[in-house]
Amino acid sequence: MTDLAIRTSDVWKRYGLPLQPYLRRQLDRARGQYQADRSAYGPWALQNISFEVKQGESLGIVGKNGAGKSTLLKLLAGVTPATYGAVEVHGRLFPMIELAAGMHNDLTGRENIKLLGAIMGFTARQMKAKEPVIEEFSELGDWLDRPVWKYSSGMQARLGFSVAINVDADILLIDEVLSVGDVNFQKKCLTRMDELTTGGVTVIFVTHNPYSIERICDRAIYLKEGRITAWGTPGEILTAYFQQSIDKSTTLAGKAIPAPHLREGTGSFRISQVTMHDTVTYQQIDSFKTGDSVTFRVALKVNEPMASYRFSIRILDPAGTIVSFVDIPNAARSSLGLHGDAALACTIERINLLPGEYWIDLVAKEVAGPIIDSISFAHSFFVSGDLDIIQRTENRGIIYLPATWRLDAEQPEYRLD
Amino acid sequence: MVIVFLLLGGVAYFQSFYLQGSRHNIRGNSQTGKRRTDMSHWLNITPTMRRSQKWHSYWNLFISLVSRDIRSRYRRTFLGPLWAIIPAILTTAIFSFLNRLVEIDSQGAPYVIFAFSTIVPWTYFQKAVVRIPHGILANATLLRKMAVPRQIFPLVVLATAFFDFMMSFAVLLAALLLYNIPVTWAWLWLPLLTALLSLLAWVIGIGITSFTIYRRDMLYGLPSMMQVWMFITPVAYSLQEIEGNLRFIYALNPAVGIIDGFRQALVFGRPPDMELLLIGFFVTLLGLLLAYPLFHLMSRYFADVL
Repeated sequence: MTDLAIRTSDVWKRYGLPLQPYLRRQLDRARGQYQADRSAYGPWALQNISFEVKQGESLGIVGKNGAGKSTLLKLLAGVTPATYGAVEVHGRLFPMIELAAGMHNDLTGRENIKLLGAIMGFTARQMKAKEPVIEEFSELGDWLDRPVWKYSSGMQARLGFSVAINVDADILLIDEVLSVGDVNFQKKCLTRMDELTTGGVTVIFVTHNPYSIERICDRAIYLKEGRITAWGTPGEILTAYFQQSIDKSTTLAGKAIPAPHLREGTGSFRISQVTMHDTVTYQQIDSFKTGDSVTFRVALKVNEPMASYRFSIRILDPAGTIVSFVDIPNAARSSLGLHGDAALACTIERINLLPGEYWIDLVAKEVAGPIIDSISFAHSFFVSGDLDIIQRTENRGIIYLPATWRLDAEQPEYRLD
Repeated sequence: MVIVFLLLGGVAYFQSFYLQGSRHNIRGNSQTGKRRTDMSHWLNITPTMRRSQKWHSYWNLFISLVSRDIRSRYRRTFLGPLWAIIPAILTTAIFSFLNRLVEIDSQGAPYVIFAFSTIVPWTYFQKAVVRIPHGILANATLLRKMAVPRQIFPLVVLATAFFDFMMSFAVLLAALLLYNIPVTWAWLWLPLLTALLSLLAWVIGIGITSFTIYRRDMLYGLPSMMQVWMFITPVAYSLQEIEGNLRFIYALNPAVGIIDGFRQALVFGRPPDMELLLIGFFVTLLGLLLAYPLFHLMSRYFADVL
């Protein structure tokens, strides 16, 4: 097959020189304690990794810190050899990791562009032709003629990214480098990435933020402790990812909130407990389905009576993006005065969050401004979806918007005339 | 030191072949053995890329790295490239001062020239050897990212050290002129001597680097080792001071014939001592046979520990 870009078959990776594990195994063999199971001769960074990527496809690799994502990229880049198994790469591959690698601080930006080009395998003449494009993309202007040690870290990253993104490669390895520079520059990078992926470049995208794979990838792999635990469409992987973290979130729900005296705020009252309840039965729950209504109960220990205050629940996705603010409306404030220990109940109707794990932050403020009490990541909850919604959205995005579709022209009664 | 290094190198060398041939191929890749030994793997270049193109891109990278190192080295200094010359001049000054205290037989030549003619090549040798491990460490981010041939980095160090050598060699020529030393046909030996010295520096450098990346001891030990080595090489004194049985052991030091050769050719207009040069060459060759495969094997795993 010529349209194959990458194939790994049964790849295992253990770091360091292989001499010591080899001796250990021979010793075991001599003692008659030889274990046929390879995993006994670890520690393994990767175990039994097999996958294929076709040309023009983009594959996402999701996993927590230490799951082996970077190791996998290193193997694909050919920087370090696999302990067992084979890695096949067809085409010119460029790793977009450590973008400043090879850059020299005492040289100017322009000199560094040539140098980085040479590192990627381009001649001085080829780089000369690319220079105007890179110059424009980096938006560095006059700074290009100044030594790189005078650059801010953002500018250095911009220079590295501009060179990397304008290089013609068949396969790109990307390791969460998109958080470069300001918002405008990021947008530009994302646009360029889209251009590349639609232009037939094969992309391997590694991230610990599962939402970002939806934008870029056709397929995804979920790595856990050096093994592939799931593979499929980005949506399926997201579901698997959250299924695996459901155990984590239930244990975290019972986690101790930092002691009141360690928290900031004036302390006129303190949040003592947060729980989530079914709106109808009022039973305590950890998860609900997309579209359900839920009541959050916040128990308060009141030190000074408060006639009026502001209170908000912030709902966050795992990447820390605020999905929604739920505040007390002005009109309702007067009826919520606190005179002794009490509990606030906040019912949210029809939460159309897509399946996944979410967190809430709690912030209480005086009307004039000062914070009374606040807890970040006070509680986590898990949203599960019914099949219809998962099929409709493929679990892409964060919220579910119920929608109906029709062919507009076929409906004569809507005509204006 | 050389013997210890050779022993260590030998053990690792034969082990590597033993490992390669073993039934359980611990380096894996039984199916892709070809790819692992084939250099095309290093740059992940399409099989369709021609061999000449591949070498062209390595050459291009080599040139760029050398020019980076030469350009950047003295950029943030007052004296600039003068620093390429100053160490050799300082060492000569110290030895001349010592010569006042302890009369050293300089075979009729002015001692300053006698010493300077060997200190210049020696400084080149020393700089190259000491900097080779640093050449790998300084490019750690690059090694972790791109599959460029690791062999390039020691060669880059060698080339930049050679650049410094050329500058101090110009000063040496000026000094020879100043002392009215005649230009002779023996100077034609100089390119060969320089090549031998470079080869020796490279062999020692990569041999030591193979271990140093894993255990950093020699990073700190290397400067002292080179100092000791200088005193068992006729840099500050004449070869004639060594006599009898000692001379044979002394000749096993591969730097002796080369360094003395520089002096013989430049100062006295004589060809180098061929016997010494040959012994030195064979020792160097033996070192190369051990050091290169060792470096080749160990460098595959550099990215794991950098």
